[in-house]
Amino acid sequence: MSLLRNRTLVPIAASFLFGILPSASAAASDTVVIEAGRIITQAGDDIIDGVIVITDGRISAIGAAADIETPWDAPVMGGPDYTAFPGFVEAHTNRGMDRPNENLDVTPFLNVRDSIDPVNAYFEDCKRWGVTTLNVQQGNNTVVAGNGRIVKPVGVTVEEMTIRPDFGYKISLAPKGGKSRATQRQTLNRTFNDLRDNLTNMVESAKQDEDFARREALGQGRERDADEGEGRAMLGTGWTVDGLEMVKRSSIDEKVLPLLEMVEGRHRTFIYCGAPMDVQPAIDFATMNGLLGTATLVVDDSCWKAADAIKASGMSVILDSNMLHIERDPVTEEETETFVPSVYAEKGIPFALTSANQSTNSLWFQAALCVGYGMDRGAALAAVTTTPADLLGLGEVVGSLEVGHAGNVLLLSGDPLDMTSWVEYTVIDGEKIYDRSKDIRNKHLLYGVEPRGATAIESDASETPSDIEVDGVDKPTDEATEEEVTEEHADGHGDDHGDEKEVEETVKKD
Amino acid sequence: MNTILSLGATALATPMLCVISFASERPPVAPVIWDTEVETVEASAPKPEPVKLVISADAIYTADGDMIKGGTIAIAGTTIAAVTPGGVSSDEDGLHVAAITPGFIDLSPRINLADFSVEESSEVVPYLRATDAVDLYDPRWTRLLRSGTTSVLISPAAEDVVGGMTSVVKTGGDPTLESREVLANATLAGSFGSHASRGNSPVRGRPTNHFARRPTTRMGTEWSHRKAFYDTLAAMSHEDRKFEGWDIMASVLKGERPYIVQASATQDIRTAIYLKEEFSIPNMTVDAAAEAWREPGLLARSGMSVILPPFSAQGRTAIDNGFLSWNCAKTLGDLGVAFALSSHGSASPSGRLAMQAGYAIRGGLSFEDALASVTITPARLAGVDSRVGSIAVGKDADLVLWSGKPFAATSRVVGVVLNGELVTQ
Amino acid sequence: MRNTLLIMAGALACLAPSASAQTEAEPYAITADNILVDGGEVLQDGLIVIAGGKIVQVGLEADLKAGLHKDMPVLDHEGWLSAGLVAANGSMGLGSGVDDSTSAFTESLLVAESFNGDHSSVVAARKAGVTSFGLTTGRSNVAGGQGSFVKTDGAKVVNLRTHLTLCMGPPAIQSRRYPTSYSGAVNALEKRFAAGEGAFGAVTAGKLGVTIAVGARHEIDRAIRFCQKAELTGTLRGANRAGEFADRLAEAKLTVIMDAPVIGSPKWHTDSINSLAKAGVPFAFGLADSNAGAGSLRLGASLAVRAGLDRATAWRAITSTAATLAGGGKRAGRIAEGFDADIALWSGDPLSPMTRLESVYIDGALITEGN
Repeated sequence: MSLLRNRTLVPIAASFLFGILPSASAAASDTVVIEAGRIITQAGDDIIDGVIVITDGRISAIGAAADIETPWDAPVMGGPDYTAFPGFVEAHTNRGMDRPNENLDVTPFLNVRDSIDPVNAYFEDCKRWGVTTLNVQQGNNTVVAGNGRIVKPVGVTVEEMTIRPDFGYKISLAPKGGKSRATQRQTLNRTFNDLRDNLTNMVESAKQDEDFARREALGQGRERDADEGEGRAMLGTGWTVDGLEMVKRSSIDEKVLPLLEMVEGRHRTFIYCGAPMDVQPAIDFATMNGLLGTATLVVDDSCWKAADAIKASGMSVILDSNMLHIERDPVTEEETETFVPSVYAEKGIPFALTSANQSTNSLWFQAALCVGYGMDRGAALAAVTTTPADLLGLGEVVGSLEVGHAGNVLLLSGDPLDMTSWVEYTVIDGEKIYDRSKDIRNKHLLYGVEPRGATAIESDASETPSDIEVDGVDKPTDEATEEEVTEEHADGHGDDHGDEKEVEETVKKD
Repeated sequence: MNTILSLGATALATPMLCVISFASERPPVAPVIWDTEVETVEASAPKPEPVKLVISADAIYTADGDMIKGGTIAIAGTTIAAVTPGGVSSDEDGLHVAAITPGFIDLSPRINLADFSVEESSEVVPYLRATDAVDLYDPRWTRLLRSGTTSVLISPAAEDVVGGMTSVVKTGGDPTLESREVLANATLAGSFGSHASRGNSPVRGRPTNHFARRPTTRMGTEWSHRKAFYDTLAAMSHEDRKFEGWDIMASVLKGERPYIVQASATQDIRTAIYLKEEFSIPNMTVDAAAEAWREPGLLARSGMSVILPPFSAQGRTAIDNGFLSWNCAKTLGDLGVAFALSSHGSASPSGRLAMQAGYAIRGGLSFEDALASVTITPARLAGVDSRVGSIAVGKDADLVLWSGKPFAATSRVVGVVLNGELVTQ
Repeated sequence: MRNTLLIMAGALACLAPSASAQTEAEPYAITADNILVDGGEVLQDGLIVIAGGKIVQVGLEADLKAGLHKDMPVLDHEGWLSAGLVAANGSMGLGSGVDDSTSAFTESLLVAESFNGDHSSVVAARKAGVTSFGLTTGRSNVAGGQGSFVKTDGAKVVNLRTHLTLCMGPPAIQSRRYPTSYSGAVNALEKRFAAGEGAFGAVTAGKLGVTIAVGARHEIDRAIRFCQKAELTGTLRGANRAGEFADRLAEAKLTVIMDAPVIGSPKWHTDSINSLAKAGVPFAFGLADSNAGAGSLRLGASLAVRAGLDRATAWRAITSTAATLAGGGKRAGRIAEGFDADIALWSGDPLSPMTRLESVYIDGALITEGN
């Protein structure tokens, strides 16, 4: 790891030396133009032979090429053979961290910022498969877990990756390892009851302090000292504690402060249900604690049976990556299959899909499967773009290609749901952060080309970019590949570089 | 007359989507004279079975090279009675789907009774039959059938150097071997790589069980192989050198029976090719041959056929960590190497055999070649291509019905026909 | 019966409760309100005469009483009289000697040599009304020992070599020794039957029965195929799911021993029983493959009746059919002339769970009072 960090500092340093800052370009304003034979906007009709103009990371214009005036000096990418599509939005994931959960039951004070590993292979795969916005939350094995974060899969530090910090908390109704459902609910309820009790006690004692301070001032014949005034009345649609304005927020234990803010509706919560029997308790819990308006259910594949309860509550759902629920009748031994997303679609419950592993079950595949099971194509595509964007409160920013939205664009070689389509380029905030023709791991998988550093059958003389020293030959394959890609986006702006050409030459040697 | 009508009546009673449509022209029936002792009717020509199911589709992919744009398939009994181009419009009463392909054939389903399916007390047991150790009641067969796989090769697990004989068996119908077996003792199974030697231990002190024996290494496995075939050659010419199962090994040497061996890593495929060449084995296939893409020229020259394992997200596959590149199928196809795909028993949306064909297409394979690799090619490799593997008059009525273009991620298997019976989703 | 008391006193004098060796030459008679002859037939106010340990006469009291010798002791029983129950198979009395695990092929071993007639399990059996059973090995050998037909009184072995036990699945196949697979076991048995030596030859020649231990559906299927291929007729044991194969079993002329249903048995178990009955496949309940005690036989039969089986077949499954399948069909399981005097006296209909066992006679001697 440390070796890696040293190596990636070199290109940044080199860029500085050459006067190229990683996040500023030579042009006066940072404008990029994307051309595509077809633009699927997810906000209306497709645009044939269209153009997207991205300025300072935001879409400033989008439409048919004939209608849009593009700056003459802006770099252009894409072409008539490409299909443009909004970057996919992963509504909920716990990958990319070292471990999804802590051992403690109630840990709202934790933050995934401290766990996210920017060089995790998962983020690399997100670039590859066009997932440009991710809601990273803790895993399901918890009672109340820590603070999540919305990130993009680009950046060498978590801060660089962050789109929205300190976003969302995870709660689980399904039993944490070692617990029964009864003890799980007990812990959950007690956590919030204790919160209420503690706050009530704090108010009581603040009142007493206030009384004392008033009497003391009176007794001393002076005016009252100005209070710091950090207190704030408690909001909340579930329960409130009167007089909380008398308590300084800073004096509330930081371990439970997030819980208070959750109840006040200041944070989104993601409530996991592991079985249909968890759904109504989850809804009740959310209602009781005023979370209903800010909570989203994360459901197991069997929870479709409780869809009516979910519909009645008005909540949205994030679906498990396994979308085919199979049940076996114990008497007749017959198996019945239920395609889960269709159930929610038919009942009019907003749902977002999630991907399972990087490749075969990525978001495009999940959407394609929905179409296969009879879902309308628009609804399937929405479930991996606009719906999760809305769930994350980013409906005006990501999930569709519209003026003012972030410049998160995929350029595909064909229709996004087509088996033969590849993501050729991934653009995030106007920056090309993935180029399939330079993706070593993709080449390895597709053609069996050995990544640099592994003993290859094909000889590879001049793969090394001139300004970077290569450390020894016997490097493990994975690290070699990761370096390649990390180097890519450290200095790649979509402009031609010497190393790109060299890599292409090597490929042609096959 | 009455029999046809009563057959029709029973067919109507089945709660499936069927259309009873009689052949447009009923062939003339010889006049029947009933004796007082009612015996079976002797007709001069066998009475043709009545057509009991007609399915129309926008595209029929026969796997024989043709794609019929708009046509119908008529099924009588358990076989295909007619394949007629010329559209039946979809609003006519009857079963209509977007596309039809032949039922898929998986030569490596690996659904077995685990350790109890392979005799580990000895490493060369050509005389054992995998069908003696099969569980046809396993619910995984039904799942395979629903995903479109209609025929499979039942093999022993790969723990023996020469594990025994396999059979081609349908994945549905009455769960008896009688009704499901298509070809008994179809191929001989063998294994290279680590599986045949793992678990065997060198003798230290006293051997306590039969695992204290060779092979314990790949070279031991290869030696066992070569010895088995060498002994077979001896048995073929010397009466006193015959051993149990020599005739089965001899049939492999003569090319009468295909020899299908597991070999995943490059070195194992190479070893298999050397064995093939040393003993001039005419009909040999490597199974789970993930690294076939590394030396495709060698494969092509040797005449060896290939069965690929399922494609994986990171390239590494389960058997001996062989690395399968996604363009492997295309590479083999371009060189004229016969290859089949396999799902290793998975029926999941992402793992099933139809999706493997999709992944192969993604890796550059043409649609026609992908279709062949899951239908007619595996049929040929197992020796059952006269009965299954393509849509043709007289072949078994094993069909997969699609909601869209086959192998696309947006298409779904909406029905399967097996032996003329419709299995709905 | 005015004379009942006198006669009973006389009978009691002759029949000491603990006399295990009744002077068998002395004939005596028993009358009962109901005599369950063989399943379907019930004699009301019936009478049987026992002499030399065998049943010599069966009929209505009204018909036979008069013809009895005036000194013949007559025991009047208020209640039901039936044949002693027969477990189609069981391993009572074997203790830990159920299986010999050194080799997969132990076909020349005789199970009777491990039989301890005084073992608590045997005592428990007769206290439940079981008077005889098919002594058999477990299923840890591909070819296990040869079973016998025994009584639950002492170490009486009626028929020494009744059947050979085979098993083609686990635990007979195991990784430690040959064979390790189903296919290996099938092959090994095929070879041995083809060679036709020892017990295998006896089976092929029809001199020795064969029983195949099965469980899962595919094991039943395998056993049927094996028997058809080797042209053997025999019994499948432990075959609770056999009903799903009823037609094939009938065609192959195979018989079935299965576990008696218990309270809470799944529906498929009783469905299986009904299917066998419908197809005419002879079946009986055994004890060798379940943990249930001897009392499960009677309860199982009544549960089967409750699930739709006819009384006669249910009763025979724990008496005459069981005896036939166990290799003692000519000797036990029926109240009929010439059969061993293995009798059970009940407080009521033995197929009712409310009924109590009152006493048990084996070979004409009073062995035990019931529980």
